[in-house]
Amino acid sequence: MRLIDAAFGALGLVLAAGTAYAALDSDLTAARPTPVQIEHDGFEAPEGDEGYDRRDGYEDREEEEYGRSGGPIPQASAQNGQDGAGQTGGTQSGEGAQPTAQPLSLQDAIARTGAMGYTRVLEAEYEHGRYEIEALDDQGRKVEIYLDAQTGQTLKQGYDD
Amino acid sequence: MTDAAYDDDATRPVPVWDLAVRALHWGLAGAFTLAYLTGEEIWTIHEVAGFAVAAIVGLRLIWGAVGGGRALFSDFVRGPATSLAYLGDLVRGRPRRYLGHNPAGGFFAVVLLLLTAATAVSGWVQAYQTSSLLGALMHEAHEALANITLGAVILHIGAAVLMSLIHRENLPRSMVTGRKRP
Repeated sequence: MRLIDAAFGALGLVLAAGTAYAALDSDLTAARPTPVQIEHDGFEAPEGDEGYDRRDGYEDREEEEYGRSGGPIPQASAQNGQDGAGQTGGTQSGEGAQPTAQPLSLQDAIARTGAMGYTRVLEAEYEHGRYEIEALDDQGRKVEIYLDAQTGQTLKQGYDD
Repeated sequence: MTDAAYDDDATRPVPVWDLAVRALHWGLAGAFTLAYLTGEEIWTIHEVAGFAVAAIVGLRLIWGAVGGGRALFSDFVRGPATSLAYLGDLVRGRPRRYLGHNPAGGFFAVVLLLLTAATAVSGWVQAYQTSSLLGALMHEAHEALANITLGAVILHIGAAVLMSLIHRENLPRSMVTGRKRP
């Protein structure tokens, strides 16, 4: 066997073994956690906005859009508790809630964006444990913000090119 | 055109690509297409297709070491000088015909294998490193690599069509039947 064949073959062995390990370890073969249930926190979607899905809670890998044409950022009920039924996001229990579920709901993530000083949220989606939020800053420039759905930590923040 | 008209060994198509090479080639083409189309849309299928891409590339790399014949990397991987000289001949309109990969094609086969592997691996990392900056970076890298790979695939198809016209043969069909005229 020539050296070049051996080198590619070794790379192939690593890739094939890694793939087998990763596939067995993946969501496809593992049981998924039960989606968290949270109670409605008083936030109303803008009128006539069909892009907003008023489901409580969310499922893993489900995408939601908030206000395709942009809308005002709702007050964070977790911080204000306007109606006395303030929820602290996913940790608060509805029926069948799991304590291990992600603590930051989509509404919380949007509210957090408002707390950072951004005026309008254009799009917010959940993907692979992160919230990807597109918002406008006070100068009207488009910003992309990544929030960790587990910890609420800001992973990345930057202007869209 | 038919072999019957020239019934001697000099014109009968000869086996070039073995069954494993052909199956892995079309398997990779199918898996990449499926993964590209389901990206951001149908996650379960996208993940299965991504794992298939990584597995197929892994098997092809192994087969390129142990398969023998024209499947071997040593059969078609040439140095950059040879590949560039071949491209020069191509531009001047008189490229030599190779039964296996030509020097530029062999180089590009390796590029495609590495690109598809890198796309699959970056996709896996960004999906399972959800709480880190590495994951966020890989998320961007995965999308960029997928589009670069798509561009490379289009180049690959274009080159196959061009070389088929130049040498008056049907290269895509050869990748199905495994045979080429000698």
